[in-house]
Amino acid sequence: MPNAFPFSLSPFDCLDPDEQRQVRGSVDIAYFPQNAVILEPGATPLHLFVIVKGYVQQLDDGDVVATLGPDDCFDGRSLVAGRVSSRFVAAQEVVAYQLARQTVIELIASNATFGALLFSDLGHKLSVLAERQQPRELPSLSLSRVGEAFLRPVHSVDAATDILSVVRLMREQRTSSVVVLDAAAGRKGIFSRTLLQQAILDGRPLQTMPVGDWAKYPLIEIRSVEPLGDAMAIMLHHRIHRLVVEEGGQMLGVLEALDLLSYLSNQSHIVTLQIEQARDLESLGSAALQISKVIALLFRSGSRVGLIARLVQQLNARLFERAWQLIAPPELVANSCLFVMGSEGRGEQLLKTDQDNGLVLREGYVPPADLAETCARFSEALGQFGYPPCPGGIMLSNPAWRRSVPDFVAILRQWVWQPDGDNLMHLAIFMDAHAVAGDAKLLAQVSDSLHQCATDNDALLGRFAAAIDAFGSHGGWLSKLFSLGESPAPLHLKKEGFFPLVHGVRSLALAHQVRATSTTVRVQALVGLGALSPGEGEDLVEALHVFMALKLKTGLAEQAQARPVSGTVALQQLSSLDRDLLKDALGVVKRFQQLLRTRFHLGAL
Amino acid sequence: MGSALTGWARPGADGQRPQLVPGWAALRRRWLAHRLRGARFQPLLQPPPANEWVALDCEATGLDVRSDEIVSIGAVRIVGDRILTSERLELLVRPERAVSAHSVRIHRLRTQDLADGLPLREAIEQLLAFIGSRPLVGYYLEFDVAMLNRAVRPLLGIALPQPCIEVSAMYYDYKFHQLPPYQQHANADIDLRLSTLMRDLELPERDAHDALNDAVMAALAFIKLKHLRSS
Repeated sequence: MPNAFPFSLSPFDCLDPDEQRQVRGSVDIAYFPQNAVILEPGATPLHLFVIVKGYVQQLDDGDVVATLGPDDCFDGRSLVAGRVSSRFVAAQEVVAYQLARQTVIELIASNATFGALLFSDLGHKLSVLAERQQPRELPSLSLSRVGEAFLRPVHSVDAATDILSVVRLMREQRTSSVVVLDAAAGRKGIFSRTLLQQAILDGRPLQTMPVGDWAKYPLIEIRSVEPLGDAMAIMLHHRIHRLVVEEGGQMLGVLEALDLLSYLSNQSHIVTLQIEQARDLESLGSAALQISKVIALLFRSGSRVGLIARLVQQLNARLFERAWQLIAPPELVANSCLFVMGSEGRGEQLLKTDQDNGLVLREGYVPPADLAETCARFSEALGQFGYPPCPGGIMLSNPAWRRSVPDFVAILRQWVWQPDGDNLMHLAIFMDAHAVAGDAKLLAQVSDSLHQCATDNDALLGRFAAAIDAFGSHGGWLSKLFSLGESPAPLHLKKEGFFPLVHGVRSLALAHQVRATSTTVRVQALVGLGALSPGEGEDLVEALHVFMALKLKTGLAEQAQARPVSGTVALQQLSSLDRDLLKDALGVVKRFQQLLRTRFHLGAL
Repeated sequence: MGSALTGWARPGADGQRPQLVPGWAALRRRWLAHRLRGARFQPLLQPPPANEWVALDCEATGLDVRSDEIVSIGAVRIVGDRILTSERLELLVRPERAVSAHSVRIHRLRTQDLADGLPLREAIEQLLAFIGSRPLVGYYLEFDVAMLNRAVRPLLGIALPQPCIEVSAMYYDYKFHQLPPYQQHANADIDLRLSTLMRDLELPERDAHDALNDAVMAALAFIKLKHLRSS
């Protein structure tokens, strides 16, 4: 059974063959009858347990804080700390692998990803890491250099500075630590919040105590060219949370344990920080570049595509908001609402595509004279961030997409009453509008008017929904999938998958006054209203995620080869699993189109 | 099946051979010591360390104890409720004749896989050193012990002296006592297949069919049955 050790599970799935041998060589199997105490607070942990069968309860002060089942592992935290802090009891008879502590410590030191995953398992196990599709490529990260991680600025003070001034500095600079320079003794140290607590407990007035007396010496430094894995090992070894990063005798920054772990497991936290801290468009641009990296990283690590998309929507929204704040005067920001549309508005965008955005102005507000230039600057900035301009001009640099509330309401009415090709397209894209900056109520007023005038309009609803057949090649995919020909034409995901699904859901949402903008939430709402059966709803969401995952997978591969993202998949290059999923998802779309044709009487048009 | 096992000692309350006559074990040890060849094997007859066992399984070219040959041996120590897979023994044995297609299908070891295997005698020496005087645990251990004894006897002058604990017999006893009284007769119908036993005891089963895996499964069943009997 050591040969059956579950190496496909996190955190063991990042081990190389040598490390796997190391695990196999030191794993035992333990049996615990029901109610047996496996770990007791205060004990010295000797093993990491991986449950094979049965359930274990983790109790703190008699309260059950967690129940662990097959494939879960515990208690890595106490293993590293050297002391058990919770009580672990077999809730049901348990069979578990037990891996010797020494082996776990060695693995953490030799493989930083393993350490990061083990920790993320403990603290805030990202549910996104739970579902894996393919062997992770994260181990390459342990080869990343310290200098590539997020470093916080170094603030240094003279050892003679009094603690009160130091605390003031820490507060102003929003830092949790300062480097203490003791020129007289020729040494450097660090002073952190933990040490501040000790200083306060001393009882003497803070303004009379020099920080040099309380700092911790020596300062532990690491060179920026060292691998991140080493930084992790040093932190674990010294039981510290910060390292000062140096290069050529200069202090470059402070590497914090939290930032290191999130760099290894999930970089989004760092991108958020970069966006919030950006003081100019240039630094915002470098944060924008990071977003693509985060997407690729999360996808490769097996995160569910729906979660990635939500995360990306939030990151993009923050990015756009920050850019708008940097470009537009505060008064304009307060009296308008910047919104995004299309896939960005629905939260289904993964790789950067065209910018689709607009601006609603408050009724009666007179915008600054240079409004046109301000908006043009914003569109240009997004272009520099990697979001290409929209070929159809759906962006706020185009006066048609920046209007006051009544003007927007009027143009929406016009789209509804004259539902021809362009107007229907505009209506569709506007339905996905999602506010990102300014006063969101302004956008809500416009959306309200749309739902009021559209709902009872059967002719409009029918024409609107009819677009699901716009690309007219349904049925074609079946022969493509099963064609025995050598190289079938690539399948266009948007035309044959995304569009009929997204637009069909959008049509139903319009008919049932569902205000949500994301397809998933719309589906949930429609199921709630009885417009879709729960089974249909589940199928649609699953299918959407299959398309998104495939689009992202092929898009990432195209980017890696420096080719433009085509939005198509070459069927013969798909794995058989992907092909099966795609076949099922396209089947769902086909059934859904049939349902919509009946619902909206599309045959009668 | 139960009747086939009657000649085979049922374990007593301590999981070992029942003490039929007081002082019998010491007497038997002395007799064995007298016949045992070579001083280096004397530790085999020492009293075993408390609470320790060795689970054992062999794969062979067939089921005929007279003509078939051992191709692999898997053994693992049990200490209390722990199976020390970190201190396991996995040996490939080079058979003297070619392996038949039928047996390859069962243990998935081809003649060429076994070419690097140990000569049987060397494998037995390593196994004896690993087991020491610990009682043996296994599923249909009788077969494994008979196969091993063919090589053990010429080496030691005696057969394997350790107490043997048959997991299927422990299971039979456990199930037998659960039967209603009217069914408790000599040929009670109890399914003793390993997969049935593992499923019934709610233990994880691994389908990888190798000697070590089977030894680990027997060890798990042994530990569980030990608990069931004491509760």
